[in-house]
Amino acid sequence: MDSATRKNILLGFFVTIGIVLFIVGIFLVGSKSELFNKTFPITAKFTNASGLKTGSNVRFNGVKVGIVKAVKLINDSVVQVDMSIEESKRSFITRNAVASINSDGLMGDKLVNITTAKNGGEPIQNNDVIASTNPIITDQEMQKLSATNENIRVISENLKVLTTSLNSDNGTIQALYKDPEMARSLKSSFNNLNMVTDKVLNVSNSLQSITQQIQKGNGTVGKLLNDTVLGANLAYTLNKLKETSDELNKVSDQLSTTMQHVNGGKGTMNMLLTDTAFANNIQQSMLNIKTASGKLDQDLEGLKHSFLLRRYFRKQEKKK
Amino acid sequence: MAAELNKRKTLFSKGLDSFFEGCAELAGFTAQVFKEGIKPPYEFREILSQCYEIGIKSFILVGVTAFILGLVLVMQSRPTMVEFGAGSFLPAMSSISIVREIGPLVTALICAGKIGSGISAELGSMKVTEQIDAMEVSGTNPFKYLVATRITATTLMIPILTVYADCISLMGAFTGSNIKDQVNIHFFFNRVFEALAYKDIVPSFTKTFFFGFAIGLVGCTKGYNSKKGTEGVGKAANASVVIAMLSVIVIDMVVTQISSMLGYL
Amino acid sequence: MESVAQNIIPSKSATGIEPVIEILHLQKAFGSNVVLRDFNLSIYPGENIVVMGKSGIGKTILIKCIIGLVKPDGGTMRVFGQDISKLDHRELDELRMRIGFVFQSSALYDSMTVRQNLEFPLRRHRRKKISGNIEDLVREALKNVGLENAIDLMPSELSGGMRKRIGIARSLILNPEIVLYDEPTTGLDPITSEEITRLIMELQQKYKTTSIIITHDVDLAKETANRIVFLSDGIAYLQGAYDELIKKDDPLIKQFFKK
Repeated sequence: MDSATRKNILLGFFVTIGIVLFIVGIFLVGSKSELFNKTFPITAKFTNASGLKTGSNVRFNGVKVGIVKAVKLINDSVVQVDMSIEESKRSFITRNAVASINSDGLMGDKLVNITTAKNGGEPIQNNDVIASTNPIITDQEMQKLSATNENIRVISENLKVLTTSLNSDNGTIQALYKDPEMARSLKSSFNNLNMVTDKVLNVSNSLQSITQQIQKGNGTVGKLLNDTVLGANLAYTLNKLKETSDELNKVSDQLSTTMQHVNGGKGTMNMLLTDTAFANNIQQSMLNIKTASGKLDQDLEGLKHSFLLRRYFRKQEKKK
Repeated sequence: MAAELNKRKTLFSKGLDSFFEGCAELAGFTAQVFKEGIKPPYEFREILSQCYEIGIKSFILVGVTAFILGLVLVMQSRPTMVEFGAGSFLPAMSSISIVREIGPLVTALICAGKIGSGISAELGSMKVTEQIDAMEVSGTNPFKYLVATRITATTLMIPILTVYADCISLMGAFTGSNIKDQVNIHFFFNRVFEALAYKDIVPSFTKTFFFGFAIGLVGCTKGYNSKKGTEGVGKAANASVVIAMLSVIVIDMVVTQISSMLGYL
Repeated sequence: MESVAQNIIPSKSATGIEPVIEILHLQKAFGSNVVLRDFNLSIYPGENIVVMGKSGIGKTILIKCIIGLVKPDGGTMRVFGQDISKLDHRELDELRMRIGFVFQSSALYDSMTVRQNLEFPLRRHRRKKISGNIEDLVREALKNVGLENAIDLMPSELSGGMRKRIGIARSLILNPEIVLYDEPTTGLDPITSEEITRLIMELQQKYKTTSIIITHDVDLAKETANRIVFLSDGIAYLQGAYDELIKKDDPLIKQFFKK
């Protein structure tokens, strides 16, 4: 073999390997950017894109499914984020899925995270606008609120059982008198009630601040209007709150009956009465409940009048 | 006015005059390259042999340098990254710096030194010993045969060398991150390619063509126009290295600016 | 000096033969340095012209103008009746196939073997119909200069005399009608110079070429020249056969033929 041929073979080998390396590299990078995958577009609207860029990742329940195609300002308070999602992931994403902006890892690359809605839904279509949550404080507060409400509901349920048994005639008072365990349980129940009412106070305070925010002005309302999830959340919470306060009302009714019973009893309640701390506790609880329910009434009133939720309450009334 | 100008020894100053003269020389040469080089017939056989000279004979030098730089990059930046708790970002950081900058720039600078000086010394001595004249007499357009082929070869080979340099440099980075730590190769390259996007590859690959063209052009200009005598050849080789390296860096800067304007940054 | 200078305007020879090379009022200057002022010369088929003159006087420029490597500033040059300055690339290439040029520095391609050096003009002048295969032509050219066994050597492995011979072989491989020699013996020892001189003579007789030899080697001039032209001050200062010139009472010629 002459040297020219050998050189040409070597050169061909060199160039081929170089090009192969380049193409492999392109594909490895491409497997991430979906150049070679079929994609479909969807859109979500946020009040704040918080550093999202073209090319940012889109994850579905934490798994990468696509990238952000464009971030556009629609008006002074709405940012539209267009995303392209891998065709193969279409079946997993439903129309009522929710998009949120999170940061990824230490350096805080922003990404869009899509989460599944609770109870299924039809699969997503091209150019669908999916709901979004905003990474703003009200949202977090709302979530906290509904959790607290849930707790209150459970506790008051317990109280109801307790007070019912106190009120019934089948010798519960006697049992109470005889059984120190029962007395202690009652005591702790009142303690709990105290705590609960404190919590209710907190809740209604924060709720009040939210309603104030809602009532504040156009900007905020616009924000909420766009944020469909927040609205749904709020409605849910209010509903829960109402249930809770109803429940609380019942509890306090029953408690007052109990008190009458106690007052009417002969000597059986000496133990209870001599315990001043306990008495104070009860008093305090009653007071708290009163304040709390008063506040709740106020809050609900406020919410009823808020521009945003007026329709919701009207609907509720119609149902009645 | 003209007489006054004629009386003056220099137009601006000695240095500036020779600088502008050099610019004019380069511009004229570029025009001639396009004028003569684009028309067929092409010297394919000679292009192949130049590709061999430029591509394969620079491979080891480029490869060794790229490997060491990848290794050193990781070793140097590791302590700081770890201090910030960002040790896991080493693969991503090294892949971006290697693909965007280190690979193309190192390849271009090394080739500016090796190939640029080689071309201008070769053409310079061919000019001095009348080999270029002999070619012209033998029915060969030396511009096509010597200049266009070399510029084509550098323009084609520098990008391929850069691809190799990127890969080898990443291997170096992998080795570097394994010196003080145990890093799985699969994990490392997963992170490397996760960090890369087309906007990293497109401008950095595009600019290598310009690097190659500049290196070939400067080398040929200086060699082809070198003054008579061995000293002229030496000076031409020296000037070609300096100018080629400088133009590589200037092109790098311009490409970076343009790619940021086009949204590739 | 001026009064002695004869500027011979060439004319058609008495026999009516057209000159192969006709140079009229050739001018060439580099910046302010005027090399050729008003050079006139006619060369007829079969003639051996030796151009003599001091170094740096423009002898090499003269023959480079003839082959189109240097563009003259003024004047006309006809080679085989064609005006050099009016030829395009292809026509110039065709003309160059009929002219051999032996460079002062031999100009062998450093990166190629002797064989490739000799093949180069054969392969490059594609339009030329080459009789016989390339290998045979290369062997014959090397045999002509007596260096058949150097075929696979690199130019760097050759001595100065060998390089010169290979250079001559390469110039003659296309069987040119005109051969231009640029200082063929400069830088060689007297024995080698003599060998080269003999080689030039042999080849001229063998191939019946017209030639122009640039030199300041008097022995070479004496051996080969039909006519010697002295170039001085940008013009053809004096010309004539060796025997005529040596009798002339001119200080410049005296200086040259001193020994």
